[in-house]
Amino acid sequence: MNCAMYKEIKFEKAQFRNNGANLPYARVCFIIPSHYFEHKIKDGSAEQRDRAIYTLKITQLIRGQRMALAGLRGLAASGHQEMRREIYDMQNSQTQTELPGKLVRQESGDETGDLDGDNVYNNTGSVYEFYKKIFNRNSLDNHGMPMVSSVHFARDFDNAFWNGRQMVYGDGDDVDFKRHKLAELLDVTGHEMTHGVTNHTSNLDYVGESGGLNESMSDCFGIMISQWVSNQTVDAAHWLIGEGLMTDGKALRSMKDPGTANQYDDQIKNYRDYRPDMDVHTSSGIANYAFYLACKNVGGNSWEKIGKVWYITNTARLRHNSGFQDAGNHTFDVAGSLFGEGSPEQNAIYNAWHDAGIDAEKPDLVANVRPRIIMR
Amino acid sequence: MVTEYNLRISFEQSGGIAGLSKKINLDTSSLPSSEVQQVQSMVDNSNFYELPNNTGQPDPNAADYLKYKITLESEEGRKHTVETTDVTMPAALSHFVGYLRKKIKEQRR
Repeated sequence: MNCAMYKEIKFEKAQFRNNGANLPYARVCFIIPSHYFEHKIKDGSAEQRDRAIYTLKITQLIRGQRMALAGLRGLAASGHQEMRREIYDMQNSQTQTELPGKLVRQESGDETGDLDGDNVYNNTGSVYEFYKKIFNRNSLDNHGMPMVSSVHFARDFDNAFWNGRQMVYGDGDDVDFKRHKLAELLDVTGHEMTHGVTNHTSNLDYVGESGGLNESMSDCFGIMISQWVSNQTVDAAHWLIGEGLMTDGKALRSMKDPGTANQYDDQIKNYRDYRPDMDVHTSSGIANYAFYLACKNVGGNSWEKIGKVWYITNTARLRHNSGFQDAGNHTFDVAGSLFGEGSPEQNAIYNAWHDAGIDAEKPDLVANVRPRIIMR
Repeated sequence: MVTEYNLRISFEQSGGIAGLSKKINLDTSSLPSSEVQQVQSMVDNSNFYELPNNTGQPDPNAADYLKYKITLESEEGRKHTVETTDVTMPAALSHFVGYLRKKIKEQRR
């Protein structure tokens, strides 16, 4: 790749991150004609292909053009085209500086015989497949990044988390959480991996309203993935996050009826009850409820219409400090674009948010949409 | 030779994928002496009193980690609080936190 061009692209990309600031409009000249890259995509090595696709994607962003890659079948998502899973064993250490731990399984490797490791391997694959098939997303960063998971973190650990780079699973202890369930439940994996997707897209701050939205995105996509794998309609689905995880209690959370999943469940389902000091898992009930209501109203499968609106909203509209009103506004607007103003889908979304205490409005796209580089 | 070692420990756990909050208050005078020795060595090995009040800001991209708040108060009134999380915990503190997590569960049984 020509160095001068590469530097120019890097510079533009850095400015692109500056949400909300006035962007300079720059004349960008491309020294290398695009057919050079197309040749590399078709005939180059895997690494050359990756770099060529990546360059064309940035070019497309800079030029504001529709997919420069549209003509190249199967390559619209860039980067390494197959999933790359890596499973590690923390061997009950709680020392987070030791993450990821001991490598026990790589992509296409044999089953290890360790239940948690093999379950996480399979679930991670399902999550990757969902994002690829339904939304044409190639891993968490849409660029084929490896998906790293560690199991057996700490001893009797009732938790799973995303540390910013990888997924981490405890064993459970049969006191609060049943043993092996964190690794077994597909919606837990979907929830954690969606934090990774959110990091690479809206990057919602994990505090306040944006934190509640961040959490809700993980629940919404987690539940969609488990419904997709079981091929359930919105009516057949139970809408419970972490069903069967707790030793006493139905589930961790209910999207259908926030606050009723177990005796400690303090989720809210209406914005009027929101307080800024709430845990992000508490306020996420507002957006969870809106998603559930919209899906039920439209019917069919959650990922087809409402899920698509939610995906576009998280990946192309929301910003790091977006709140519940922004989510209402943008899902309403995206639905208008996709299905038509006044369509049943848009109305379903409007009514759903209304029932959750948010009255959606047309968003201010100049102020809110993440800025694009424009050519003059 | 076991020296007198009376400590009041307050341990709070919050956040996590479940968003649950739990708290326990422990007085070492109510523990068997072998356990008191364990506590003493965990406190010493973690360098507890030298740790900052907050062991660090979590990676802003991290999510669903548990948050912990540990307060130790000795009979003589020496008091120190450390806040930490699954993703920011210093290696030396993990054994003590593991013990405190276990005590919280024992309380609930």
